[in-house]
Amino acid sequence: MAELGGLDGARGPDPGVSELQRLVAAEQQRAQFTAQVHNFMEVCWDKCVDKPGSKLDSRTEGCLASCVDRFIDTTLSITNRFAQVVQKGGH
Amino acid sequence: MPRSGVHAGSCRPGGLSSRDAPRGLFSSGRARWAGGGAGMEGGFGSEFGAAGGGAGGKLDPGLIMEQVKVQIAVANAQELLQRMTDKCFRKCIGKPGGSLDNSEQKCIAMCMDRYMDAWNTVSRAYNSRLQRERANM
Repeated sequence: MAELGGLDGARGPDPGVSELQRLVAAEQQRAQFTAQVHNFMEVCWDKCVDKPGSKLDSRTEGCLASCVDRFIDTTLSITNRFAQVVQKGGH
Repeated sequence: MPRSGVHAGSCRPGGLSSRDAPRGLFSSGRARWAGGGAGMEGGFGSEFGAAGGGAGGKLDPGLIMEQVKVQIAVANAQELLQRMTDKCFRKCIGKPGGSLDNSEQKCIAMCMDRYMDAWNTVSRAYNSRLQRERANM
């Protein structure tokens, strides 16, 4: 596993490894994004889509977009408030 | 669930640039995933061994990354199908009968398309939000 450690025997770091690390990190970020979209869908589909029709009407599209924003706002709100609660000595 | 509700990625704070962001995995309601049909058998070691250039060779990032991307795409497709099945079953099947009748099958087909449309909409909205947050940082 010397290659994965970034060392190529006695000759110094393998340039392929740091490039690989960079590429893998980028893919990881993309995968995190996708996972998050799945999570939003979990909640927003139920909130916004009533009966599946032949296309998504503009009201539903608007609801889905708002759902994402409001969910993030809620997360931020809870995170911030929780930090205050903890700071004050917790519940 | 991200800690702050906004992704601070390791490469770029605040999420994906428009260059990298998936605009929507699916277009016009039809599923199209990057690289399908690859099995997930075997662990990581055996598949990356060859791309590692053999004994004492340099790593080939290109080959490894192709395999990584395919595996991620397959995992994403599985996740999507599982969630879509759950949602569409709930929406379309009332009291389960002896078989899926015509209306149920039509509903399932429409539901699948709408689910993917919704997925794209949510994906775009999330990406926009990340870019907005990043612009404010």
